[in-house]
Amino acid sequence: MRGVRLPTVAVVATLVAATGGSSWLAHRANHLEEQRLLSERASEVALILTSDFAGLQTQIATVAAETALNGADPVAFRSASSALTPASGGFTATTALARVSGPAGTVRYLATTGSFNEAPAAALAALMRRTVQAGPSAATSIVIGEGSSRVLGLAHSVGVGGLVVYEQLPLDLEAAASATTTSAPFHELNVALYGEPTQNQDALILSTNEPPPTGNDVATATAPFGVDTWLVATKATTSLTGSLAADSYWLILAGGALFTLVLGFLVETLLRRRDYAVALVAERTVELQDSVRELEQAQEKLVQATRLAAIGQLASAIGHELRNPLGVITNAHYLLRASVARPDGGPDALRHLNTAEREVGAATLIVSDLLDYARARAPVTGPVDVADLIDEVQSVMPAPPEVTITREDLAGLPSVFADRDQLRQVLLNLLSNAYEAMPEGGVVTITTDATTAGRVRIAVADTGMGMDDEVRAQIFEPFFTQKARGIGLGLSVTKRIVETHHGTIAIVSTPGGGTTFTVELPATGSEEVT
Amino acid sequence: MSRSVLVVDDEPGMRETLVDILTSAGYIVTPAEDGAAALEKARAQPYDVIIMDIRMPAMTGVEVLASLEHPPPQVVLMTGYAVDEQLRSARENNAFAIMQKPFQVSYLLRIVAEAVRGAA
Repeated sequence: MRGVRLPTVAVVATLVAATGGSSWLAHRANHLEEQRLLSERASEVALILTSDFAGLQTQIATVAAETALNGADPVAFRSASSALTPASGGFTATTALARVSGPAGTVRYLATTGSFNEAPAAALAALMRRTVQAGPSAATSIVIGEGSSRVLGLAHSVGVGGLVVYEQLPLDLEAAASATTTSAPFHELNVALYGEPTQNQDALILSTNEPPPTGNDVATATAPFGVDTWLVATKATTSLTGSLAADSYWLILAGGALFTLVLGFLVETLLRRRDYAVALVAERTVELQDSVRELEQAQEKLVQATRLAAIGQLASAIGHELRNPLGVITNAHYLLRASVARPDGGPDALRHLNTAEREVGAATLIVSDLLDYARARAPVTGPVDVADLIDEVQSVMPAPPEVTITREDLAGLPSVFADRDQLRQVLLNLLSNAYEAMPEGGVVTITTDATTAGRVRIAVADTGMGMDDEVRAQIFEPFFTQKARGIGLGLSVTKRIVETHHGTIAIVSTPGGGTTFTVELPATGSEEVT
Repeated sequence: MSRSVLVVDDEPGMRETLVDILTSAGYIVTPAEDGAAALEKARAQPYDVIIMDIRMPAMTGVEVLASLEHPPPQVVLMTGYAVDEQLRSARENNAFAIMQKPFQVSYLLRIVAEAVRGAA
């Protein structure tokens, strides 16, 4: 079995590369989109946080401003603070007004709205000192406490006398956790909030999931609060672009693989079919060539056989025709010998010599006919006056006593462009045929005419026995003869001469109704003459 | 006593030389130039021997042989080149001999003499 064809391998390789490339690109594009969306989400979360911070900051700034106006009066402070509670979302805010004084930055509460210790804890004191140091109306934030008692502390500098307004809100971790349920916004994210602008785990305030997001696929955004900057870190727990987009590269890969398989199979099938067809054609071609070769050999044999048959026919025709004059010459010799033996045999001897001579002439004519047939000579052409040539032929071959010749010549007949000797032979053949067709006598009519096609027509008509269709069909065949004498080459030679002159020869004949041979030849000056 | 011979050949040279040869050999010779003339002459007068060419126009020697109403005892046929069918037909019609042209005159005379003896 032959292996997979190269074009199939090429197609499959191309498709595999295309599929792999497309899949990778889709994967890459999806990843970038995922990153972009995650980054957006992180920014949104940070924005919401910033917005919330801004709200809180505005409230605490308002309290700080009122406190400043009222000369840090504790009653006025509590009154202003009461507007803060209850906060939305069920938070209960606890506020305090403190003063940072002295070089050591001692912190002392002036008024509180909740249960505060006598002196603030170290972390709170530090926050308040930092707030005052940061300048008038500076805000800071902190997360203190552990577990469920964790609180968010916000401090705002009043701007005079080292006064600081402090507000503290419980951190609702359950609410934070509920943000991961599917109905909540950002449910698809693992979000972590840091009290510093870096992902320092010590500064982690809260996270929606455990563990908080880490690694490469984390997007971060900052949320400023006063002089502090917090950090929001997010990581997607499910695809942000949608599962279809996320899995598109798998789909492309699977679809491409399937397509590759189908196309590869198709290409391979077509190639195999084509190869089969080509092989079949090659096989048939060889068979055909064999057939042609056999046919050629058969034809060659046939031609050889035909040639041998023709030679046999020729030999028998010649043999027969030559035996007659030879027989007569033999007889004449016998008689001549007897005559010369007699004293008075002179006249007889002369007669027998004449007989022998005549027969030698007849034999010579047969040989000439044969040579004319066998060795066709190219015509040596020139203008020939047809009427003049017919006169000559008539004088060379006068009509027998019982035959009359009539002529119907066209006046001003154009000359023909022909080999005069060959054309004379044509006319001699036609005339002798006409004589022989009328052993009982009759009329030969020789007509000359010009056709509209610029040709000269010569018709030789006899009133002889005529011929039937069968004979007429063979009349121009070599060795066909109806005469007792002759080898049957005359009309064959005649036809060939006419055709080498670009002419035509036609015959009209009916049994008992005579025969007319019509020869047409191009006239001198006509376009046909070459 | 001399015997009568009819010489039939369309070829004048052959016909005339045969007449001369047979006449000088002492036969009474009558020439005929074709089959029709031969039949006519044979009908008018009986001949001891007929010497006849096979290949002649209109009527072949074999056809003349088959058409003779009162066939003479012997018919000698001559041919330059006879096809098998003609030879078979000649034998069927009891031709005395078939001579291939050209033949020696002595052979001709011997055949004619034998034919005449046969006719006697």
